Amino acid sequence: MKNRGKSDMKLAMVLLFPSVFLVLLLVAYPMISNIKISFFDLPINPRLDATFVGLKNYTDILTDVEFIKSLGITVLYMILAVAGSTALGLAVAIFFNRPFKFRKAARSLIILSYVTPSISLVFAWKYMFNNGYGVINHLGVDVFHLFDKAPLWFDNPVSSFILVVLFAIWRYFPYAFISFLAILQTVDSSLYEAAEIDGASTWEKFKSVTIPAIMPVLITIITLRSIWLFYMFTDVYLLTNKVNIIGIYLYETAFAFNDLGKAASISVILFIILSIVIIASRKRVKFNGNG
Amino acid sequence: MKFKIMSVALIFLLCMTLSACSGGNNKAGADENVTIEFMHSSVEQERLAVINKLVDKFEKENPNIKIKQIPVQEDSYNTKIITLASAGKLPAVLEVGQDYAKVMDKEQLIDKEAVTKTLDEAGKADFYEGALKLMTPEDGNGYTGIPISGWVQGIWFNKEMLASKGFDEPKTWDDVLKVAKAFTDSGSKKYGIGLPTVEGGFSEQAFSQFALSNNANVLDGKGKLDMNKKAMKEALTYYKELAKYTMPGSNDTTEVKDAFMNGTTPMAVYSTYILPSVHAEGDADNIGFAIPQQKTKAVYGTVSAITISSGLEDAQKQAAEKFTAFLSEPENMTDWVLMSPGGAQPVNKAVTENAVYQQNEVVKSFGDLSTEIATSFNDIQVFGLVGEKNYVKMGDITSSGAISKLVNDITVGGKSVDSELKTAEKKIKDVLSK
Repeated sequence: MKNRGKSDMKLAMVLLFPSVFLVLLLVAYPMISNIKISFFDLPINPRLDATFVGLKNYTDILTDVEFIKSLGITVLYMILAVAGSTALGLAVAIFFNRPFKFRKAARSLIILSYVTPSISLVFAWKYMFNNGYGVINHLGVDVFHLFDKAPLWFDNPVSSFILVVLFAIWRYFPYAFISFLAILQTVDSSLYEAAEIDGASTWEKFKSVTIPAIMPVLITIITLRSIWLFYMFTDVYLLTNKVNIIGIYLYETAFAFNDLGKAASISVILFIILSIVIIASRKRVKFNGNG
Repeated sequence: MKFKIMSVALIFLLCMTLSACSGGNNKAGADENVTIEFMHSSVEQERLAVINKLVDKFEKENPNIKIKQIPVQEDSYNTKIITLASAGKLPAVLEVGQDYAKVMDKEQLIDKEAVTKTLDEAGKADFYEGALKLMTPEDGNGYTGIPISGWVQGIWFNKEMLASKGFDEPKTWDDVLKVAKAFTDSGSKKYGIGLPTVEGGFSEQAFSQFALSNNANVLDGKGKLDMNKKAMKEALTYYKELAKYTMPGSNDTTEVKDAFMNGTTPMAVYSTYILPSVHAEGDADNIGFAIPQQKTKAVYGTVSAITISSGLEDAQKQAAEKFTAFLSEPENMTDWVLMSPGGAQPVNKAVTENAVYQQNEVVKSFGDLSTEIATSFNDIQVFGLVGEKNYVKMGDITSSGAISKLVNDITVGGKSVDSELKTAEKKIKDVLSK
C-alpha cells in the first residue's frame, strides 16, 4: 500500500511538473519582478542603475489625489456596469427562457455586441454621439427637438461617465445572458409549478426559486466581471479622455511619464485591493455551499 | 527528497529559460555577417515595399550586413520603444520623432556620437536648419538623429471660398478672425475654421503656433517655466475667440480634416498630411497655405529622424552607422519622402532639388506651394525650443497633457483663461518638481 502511494506521488510529480514550471515562469516570475520594480526608481535604459527608493512609490501613489479620485471613479464605474450588465443579462435570459419563433437567431443577435471587436463598437458610438453629424444629436435636435443646442456628449465629464457605463452594460450583458440562460434551462419546472400551487406571485417565484438556483452563476459572473471591469482600459481610453479610470492612470504613469517603478507599485496596490474583493466573494460562495 | 529534486530541477529550468530570454546579442567580428534590427513606423503595404527595396539595395552593397525590419504601428510606437529598451532589446537603428528623441536622449538610449559622425559625413549643410535645430540636444552638442522627412502645420485655406466673400490669403491674426467670422453660420452647420480643440497633442501643436507667433514660449531662456505672462494670455484669449467660429465640441484630426474637405469650413489648421487628400479630390490648385502671424511668424513642424541606439557592440555599431548613412543619401531620402508624397516633406535641399522628387505627380500638382512648404521648415518654432536651446523637460510638460487640457478647457469647457492658465502652470510645476 505504501509503495503504491509512493509511485502515485512520483507520477503525480512528473505530470504536474510542466504546469508548475509554466506557472512559475509565466505568473510567479513576472509577479515577483513587478514587486521588486515597485521599490525602485527604474530608468528605461537597463544599463543605467536603478535607485532603491523603499516605499516612496507607494506613499507617492497613496497620497496622490488623482489616484484616489481615479480609484473612486473606477469603483463607481465597476459597480454600476457590473450591476447593469448582470441585471440586463438576467432579465433578457428569463425572457428568452421559453420557446418562441426565431429563438436561435434572436440569441445570436443578442451576443453580437459581446463578440464584435471593441474598436469597431467604440467608433460606432463615437460617430453616433458626434457633435456635428452624430445620429443622436440629429434625432434629439433636428427631429424630436429635445434639445435647443446639441449636447457635447463626450466633452462633459458627467455625460461621458454615463456613456462609458452604458457602453459597458450594453457591451458585456450578453456574457451574463449566456451564463444565466444555461443555468435557467437546468431549473426543474416542477419547482415553479409547486410554487404556483402554493399561491406564489411572479416576484416570489423569482425570489424563492430562480435566485437560489442561479446563485452560483450569479456570484461567479459578478466576481469575474468586477475583475475585468476594474482593470478596464481600452473601451474607456478610446471613447473619451474625460473619464480617468485606474487603467488609464496606470498607463499614463508607465508610458506617458515613463515612471515604471510607480506604475509597478500601482499594480501591486490594485492587486491587493482585488485580492481582498476575491477572497471576500469566495467566502460568500462557500457560505452558499458552492465554493 | 523527491520534492527537493523537483524544486531544484524547476529552479534550474527557470534560470535556464530566463537566461535564454535575456541573451541573444549578435556577436560578430569585422568579417563575419552582422544582423541589425531596424524599427520604423511604415506598416502599410505600399510603404513597406519602398523600405524593402531600400533594404535590398543596402544589403546588395553590403553583403555581410543583414537588416531585420521591425515595423510598428504609430499608435504603439513609443510604448514599444519603452518595453524594448527596458528589456535591453532596443533595435540598432530606429526611426524616431523629434519629441521622443528627447526622451530617449534623457534616458541615454541614443549614441549621439555615432549619429553626429554619420550626419557630418552625410553633409550637414544640405539639411534645413529648422529641421536640424529640432534634433539638437539640450546641451547643444551633437544630434539625436538624422532628419529624414518631416511635416509642417499651418492654416490651409480654400482659395475659391475665400474669394467668394472677397477675402485674400489671411496673413495676420486679425485676418484669420475676420474670415472665420464671415463664414460662420452655426444654424446651417457652417463654420469659419477647423480648429483643434481636443484634449490631446493636436491642440497643443496648433495653439503653439499662435503663442509662438506672439513670442510666448512655455520656458524662458534659462529653461524655467514662464507661462503666466501677458503674451501667453493674449494668445489664449485669441484662440478662445477663434474657437467660437469652429465646430462645437472637441475637434481632433478627423473632425478638422473632414470639415475642411467637405466644405464645412474654408480654413483648417492641419499638417501637410491634408495634401494627399486634396490631390485625390483634384483640388490642388485651389488650396493655399498661411502661417499665423502676429509679432513674428511661427510654423509648427515635426521631424522624423533616423537614430542609432546606444550600447551596441562594435560590429553592430559600424553596421548601424553604415545603414544610417545609406538612408541619408539624397536619392534614398527622396524614396522615403515619396512614400507619402505631399504629406511627408523633404528636410534636405538635395531632396527638394532632386529630379525624381520634383517630377512626382502629387508634388508637381501643387506647383510653387511645394517649395513654399519645404522652405517653411526654416520658420519652425516649437514650445521648449528657446534660441539655440532645445529643452528636454518640454517632453515631460507635453506628456503631462497640461497645455492641451488648458486649450480644451478654455475653448470647449468655456472656462476663464486666467484660472485655467494658473491650473496648468501648477500642474506643470508639479510635474517638473518630480
